[in-house]
Amino acid sequence: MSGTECQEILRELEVYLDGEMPAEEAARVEGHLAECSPCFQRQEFVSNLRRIVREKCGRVERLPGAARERIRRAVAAENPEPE
Amino acid sequence: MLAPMSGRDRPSEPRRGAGAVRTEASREELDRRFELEAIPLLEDMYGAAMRLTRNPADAQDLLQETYLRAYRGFAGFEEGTNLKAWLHRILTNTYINLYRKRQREPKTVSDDEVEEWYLYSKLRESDIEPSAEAQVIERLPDEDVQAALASLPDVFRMAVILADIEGFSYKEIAAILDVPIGTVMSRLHRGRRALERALWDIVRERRVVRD
Repeated sequence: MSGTECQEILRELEVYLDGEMPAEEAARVEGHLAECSPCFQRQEFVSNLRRIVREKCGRVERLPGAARERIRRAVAAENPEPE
Repeated sequence: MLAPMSGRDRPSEPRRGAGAVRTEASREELDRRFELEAIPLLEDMYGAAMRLTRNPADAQDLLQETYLRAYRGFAGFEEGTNLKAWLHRILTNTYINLYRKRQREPKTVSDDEVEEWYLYSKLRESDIEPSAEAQVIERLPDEDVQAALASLPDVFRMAVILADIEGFSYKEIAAILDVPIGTVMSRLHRGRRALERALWDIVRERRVVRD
C-alpha cells in the first residue's frame, strides 16, 4: 500500500463512516481497508469510538408524567374548544 | 429555568388568530395528526432536549416551548416528510433563541491545535495494549463522556449530537441547522476532533493510562 493511498483513504474515512459516500467510492475504501491493516485498525477505532459515544450519551431519558401532562395541557390551551 | 421569550424571538410559524386561514375541519384534522404523530415523539425529543440543556428543568421547559411552536406551526409541516427532523429544527432554534444571551461568539477549535488522529495517536503512544485503544474510552463512566461532549462549543456540539447520537444525515442536519452541507461537514469534523481532545484530557485526568 502506498502512503499516498493511505492518506487519501484516511482523509475520506469520516465521510465513509457517515455513510455519505457514493457506492463506488465506498467500495474503493472498503477494498483498501480489506488489505491495509493500519488503516483498518484506525477505521475500527473510529467506528468503536462513535458507538461508545452514542451508547454513553444517547441514553433514553424518561419524561416524567407530570411534565408530559403539563406540556399536553399547554398545547391544548393553545387551541380552546370553540363554544 | 429558562427566561420567557420576547415577541421578537418568536419564530415565524403561523399562529392562531390574525391571519389564520385554517378552517374548522382542517384544524381538527391537524389536531388529530399532531396527537397521532408529534405527541408520541415527546419522549425522544425530551432526550434531545436533555442532551442540549443537560438538566431536567430546562429540558422540560425547552420541550414545552418546542411543542407549542410545533403546534402553532403544524400547518406548515409537509405531511410525509421527516417529522422528527422538523421537530429537531424547532428544538434547536428554540434552544438557540432561549440561550442566545448566554451564547458568545463560538470559541473556535483551532485546526492547528488538534491534529488528525489525535486520540488514536495519544492512546497508541501510551502504555495500553495494542488494539485496546477504544476500550479505554469504553471503561470511562458515562458521565465522563457526557462531560467531554458538553465541553464542546455549541455549534460543534449540536452537529456532533445530531450526527452521532440522533443519527441524522448531512442533508437533514443542514436543514435542521439551516446551514449548507459543507458547513455541517466542517463542524462535524472539527467537533469530533474537539471531542477527541476532551476525551483524552479526561483519560489523563483519571490516570487511566500513562503517557
